[in-house]
Amino acid sequence: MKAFTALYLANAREFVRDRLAMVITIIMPLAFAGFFGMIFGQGDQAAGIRLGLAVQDNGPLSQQLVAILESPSMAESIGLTVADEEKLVESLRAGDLHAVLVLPAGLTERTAAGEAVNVPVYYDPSSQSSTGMGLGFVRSFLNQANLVAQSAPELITVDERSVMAEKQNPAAFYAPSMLGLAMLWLGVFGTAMPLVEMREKKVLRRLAVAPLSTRTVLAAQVGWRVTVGMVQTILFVAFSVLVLGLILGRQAHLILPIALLGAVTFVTLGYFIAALSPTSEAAIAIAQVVNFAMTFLSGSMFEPEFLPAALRPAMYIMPLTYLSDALRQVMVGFRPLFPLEVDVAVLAGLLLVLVPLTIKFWRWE
Amino acid sequence: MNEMALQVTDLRKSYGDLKAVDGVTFSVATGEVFGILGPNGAGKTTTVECIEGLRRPDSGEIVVLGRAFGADDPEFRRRLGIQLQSTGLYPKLTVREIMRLFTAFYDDTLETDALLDLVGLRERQNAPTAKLSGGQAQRLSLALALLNKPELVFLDEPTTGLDPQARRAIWDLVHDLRREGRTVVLTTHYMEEAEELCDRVAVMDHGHIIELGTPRELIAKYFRETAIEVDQVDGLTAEGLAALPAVGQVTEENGRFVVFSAAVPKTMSGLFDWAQAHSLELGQMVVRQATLEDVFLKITGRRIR
Repeated sequence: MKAFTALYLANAREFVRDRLAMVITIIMPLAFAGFFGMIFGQGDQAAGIRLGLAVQDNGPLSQQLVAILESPSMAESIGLTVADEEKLVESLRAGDLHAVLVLPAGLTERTAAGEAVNVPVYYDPSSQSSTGMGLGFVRSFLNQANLVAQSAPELITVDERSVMAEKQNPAAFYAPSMLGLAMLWLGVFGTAMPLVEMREKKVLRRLAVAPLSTRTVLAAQVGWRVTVGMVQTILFVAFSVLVLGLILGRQAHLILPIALLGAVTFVTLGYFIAALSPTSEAAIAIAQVVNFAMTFLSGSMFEPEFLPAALRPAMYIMPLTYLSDALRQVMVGFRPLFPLEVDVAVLAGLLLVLVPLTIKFWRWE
Repeated sequence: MNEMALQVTDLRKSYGDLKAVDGVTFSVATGEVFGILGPNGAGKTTTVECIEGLRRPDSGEIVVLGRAFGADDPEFRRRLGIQLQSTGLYPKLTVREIMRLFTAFYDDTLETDALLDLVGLRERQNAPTAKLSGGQAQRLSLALALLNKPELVFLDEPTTGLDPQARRAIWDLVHDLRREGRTVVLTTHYMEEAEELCDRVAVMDHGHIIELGTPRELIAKYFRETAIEVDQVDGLTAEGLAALPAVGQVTEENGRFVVFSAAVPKTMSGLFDWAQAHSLELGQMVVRQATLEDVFLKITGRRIR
């Protein structure tokens, strides 16, 4: 344990004192996320709330609520579209509305009878405007509705229904995708290249004759890099929420575990590249190819729909596709390319394949 | 206690067609300073790295400190001190941090400050290892080989590329190790180093040990003679020199003839007579003892460097 700790700290010091490594693995992905999130994210900040209203109840309570929403004082802050539920949800999906409120049939009758009623509210969890302004407005509005209905306990409860817009806030796409990319870079640039350099400078060789088990040396190196990955993830989440204004999805508790799996898998990929590379020139070449292919073919740099059809199949063999997809899902509830279980299985499967291969091809010098 | 610190029997290691080590056998007694001497590519480093467990020999038996050596045996490695010929350290860690790192690998170690003083790196303790000079890096490497108070120390060309002062500092350290009764195996291609430091020397060439003994034995065996170095001038030939009285052998190196003579006055007087008879103007002359360098040249027909 003493040896592990000492080696872990040695790796940490080497990394922290290497400004280039710091910039590439920590700052660059954040800068990318910020850059893409901001330049493509402008249009989302619309003034006023575009609210869809579907009225299925003709009772006095509903009429009263509609009247409030249509009142001139409300018109300043909300643009109201009244139509049927299905049509409005379509509009929400197209990104034309921020939220859809449905006043369900029997609302007046049932609340009058003292029965609690769930009022459906549709919103787009990937859009800051939708979740922040749209959903926020409807919630406070329904609180007022409870006052209007003079119901105690509160009989009108909000039934939040998330609807993924076809065109989501670019930041919701870029922040998790760039976190996935950050894990890739941690593996290829933060792991493979320094390792080959350490091998060429014969640092690994010196460790090989010290009284250390291979396991201890590898555990300390992988351990430190995974730590970097976790710090990276926390920074990303903080940046996404505080700077890009994203609202975390319901599965936000899975961000760290998914990022951990991604970090371990890609750091192992880094070891595999290092094992295959006889020289640092070779490592740079392989790292560049892997980086280029994954960045552009994984649907991380731009949405997968933008890929030419001919290149679409390549997306399925890029491990980063699955990590970025999983991170998008758990971070902001972005519409999935694959079920989360598939993403996790692919990453874990790759890890299980890479570990024995890396051990087989590993060389200390 | 086993009297043999190291026994190597019929060690073989090939790289493709090249037989780097081709049936090497020797043993090193506890407390002995044993030198492996030879030119670059003789197989010295391959031999030592097989013993250290860095390379897997094709065949042969290696017994270190009384047991067959297992490369993946951290516990056993604690008893060894290893300085590699070519090695690197974390470039951005300081000398002191590197010492601390390696100290953490062992249970019983020398005190860091004392060791820094010993290798003369106290003033450079806060320098990143990448900023050390060749000599300083070599001394740090030596310090790392010594910090666990090893019973058996391997030094692979510890002074190659160092200036005379740095070399002298390392020689002093090896003398200290010898006084403390530690066993040292060192490789070198400096003859004077082997003569200065080693109790016994194995001379290697082309993967074989071609001679083994104390430096004095080897010189006595091959050279009962004294070397006279004569500048080459027009008219002076190796054949002519070989025909002089008491001359055993004549070799050429660096623009000089080296004449090995069993009786210097006879050879010298013959040389002067010959020069006069042929109206030759002789250049510089140096008379010296034969060295291991000469031994190597005589055995292999080649200079060591």
